[in-house]
Amino acid sequence: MSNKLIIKNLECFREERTIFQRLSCEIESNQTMLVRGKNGSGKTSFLRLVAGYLKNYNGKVLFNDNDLQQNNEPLTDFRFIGQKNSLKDNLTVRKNIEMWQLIYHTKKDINKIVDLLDIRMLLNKDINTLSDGQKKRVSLSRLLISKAKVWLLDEPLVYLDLNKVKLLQDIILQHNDAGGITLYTSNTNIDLNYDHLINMDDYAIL
Amino acid sequence: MPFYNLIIRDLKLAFFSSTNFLFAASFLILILILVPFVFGTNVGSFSILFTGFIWISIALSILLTLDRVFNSDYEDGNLDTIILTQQSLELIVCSKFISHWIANCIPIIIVIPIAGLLFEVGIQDILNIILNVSLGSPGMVFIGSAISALTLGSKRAGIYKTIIIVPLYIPFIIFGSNQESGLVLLGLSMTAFVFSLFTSIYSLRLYAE
Amino acid sequence: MHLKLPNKIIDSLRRMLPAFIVATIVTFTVGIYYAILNSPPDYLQGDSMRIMYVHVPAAWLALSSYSFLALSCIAWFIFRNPIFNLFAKSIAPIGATFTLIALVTGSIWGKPTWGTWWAWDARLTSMLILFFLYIAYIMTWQTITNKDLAAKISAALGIIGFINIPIIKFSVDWWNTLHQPATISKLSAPSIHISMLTPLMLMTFAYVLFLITLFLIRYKIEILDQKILRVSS
Repeated sequence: MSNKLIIKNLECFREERTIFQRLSCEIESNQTMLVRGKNGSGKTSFLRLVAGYLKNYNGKVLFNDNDLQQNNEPLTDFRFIGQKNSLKDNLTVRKNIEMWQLIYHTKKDINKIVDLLDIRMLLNKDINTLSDGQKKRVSLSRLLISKAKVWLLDEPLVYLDLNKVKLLQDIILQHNDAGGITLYTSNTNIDLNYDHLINMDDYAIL
Repeated sequence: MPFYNLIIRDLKLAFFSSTNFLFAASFLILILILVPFVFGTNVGSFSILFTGFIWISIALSILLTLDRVFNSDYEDGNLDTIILTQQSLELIVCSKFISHWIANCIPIIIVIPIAGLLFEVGIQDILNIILNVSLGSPGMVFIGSAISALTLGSKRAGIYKTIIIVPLYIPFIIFGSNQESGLVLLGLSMTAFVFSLFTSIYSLRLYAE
Repeated sequence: MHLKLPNKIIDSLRRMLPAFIVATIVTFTVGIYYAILNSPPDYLQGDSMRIMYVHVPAAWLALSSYSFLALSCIAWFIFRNPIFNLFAKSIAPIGATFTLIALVTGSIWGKPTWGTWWAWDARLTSMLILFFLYIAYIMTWQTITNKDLAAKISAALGIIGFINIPIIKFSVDWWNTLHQPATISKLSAPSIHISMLTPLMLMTFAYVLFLITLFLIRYKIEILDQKILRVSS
């Protein structure tokens, strides 16, 4: 299974303001792309655009030769993990994961997932007792709950310590080996392995 | 079906939250408890006030729990997740409407006969009230949800939302307190549905950006 | 599509403004002279009906200001030109004030005439709701900090209110036929004698000029505000 994401001469608007322009890149199965850039350079906008939230752009985003702008269907091939954790504070981790399973409409066994992200001991804890790093890991479990071809991770490394970054690295490698594509943004010094690098500062209009 | 899954999810969340169905049911009784102490113990006049207080408690109970429809999911990011599943926005919005109505209005409707006993309201009257509430309250839920979707971006929007929503509730309350206007309420609810669906989708598109 | 903020508009506004201020003062003076001194008292209501000269134009303008607001909102949805938002945003506080004036003077008029400060009839109720619609519209700009979002949401709200007003008027009318069938007919507008029409028309004209003056000032402020926003962002 091979996938290909092609971005051609992208120009993104927020209201009347241009955020970035002339962004082109290509990314294939088994590849990771790092999106770098200063605060406000449009990293998140770029990911949200690819995920299909932002419709106001010029240029083309082609996934396996389908133009995303012409496609009005929701993009089930894409999984966007934003900076908001999507966690319900008053519920336990297990309940939160069950809620996501309902959203994604899967009944996948969560045992494997919890081990991959090392959150087994947290399962019965309430979210508001967790640390930020733990919350981030629980939040990332959405990647594994149901399959998606393209992962779009907005600042996944924030709050994670080194060995947890390693965990995420393994998960991404596994995903890529199965033909997946990963795009992530980062502003920290630690990086996951990546094949492509986009520096948003080159395209941003400030 | 993913559509039912979303409803089940919202109902579960409502059940786990502090303002669950017990809240809605007891809310009506609690408001009614105040009535005798305000208007004296002349039971005969209670039955006149009864319908009015049912509608007021429904309006208040919907207003108080509106944050659960879109706001909490928007603030913690789940709305992003939901929008990106295979659902169309129309279905997502409908599922929100339905689950909020089930979680908030059904408990009240169930409690109405019991509350009627406390106030010596006749069976026929109670049946009429239940019919009216079942036809009118969906419309109120739709409108409330739509306006809270529209105002997602405002911080601490409680009073602000109320100012917008209460004028929109006036027709429901007016026709609801009249026993023969079930059909009008149905019409109002259907109009409210179309308007709310449109407004909610517009707002979700807006805030997803 | 950026908002073009032509200096020409601001300049011409600045030039027009004094003329409008003078015209407002003059017509108000003449209007008030006619309203208080040079018109007969009503044979039923006596001098208390003179408050009509303040009340009626305020009520008319409150309603037409909201129509203007709603039409601007609709125009914004069609043309997406921010200038329409500025129109609506400028008129909102003025309309709210006129609504308040109409409500208060209406109450004061009602007490000696009908013996009550307030009646739950359709016109009064929809006037009260109109006031809250204005408040909601104004609050939108204050509670929603993102100006682009606020523009879209306030436009939607303006239209929602526009739809809501007739619905409320109809419902309350219907409610009135059930609950107080006799009293409303007293509240219907009395036919006006020609000698009272002159001051009423003069006062209306003065009100319109006053509204335009305020609108020009508010509009100028809004445009400058936009400019500052653009420069600072």
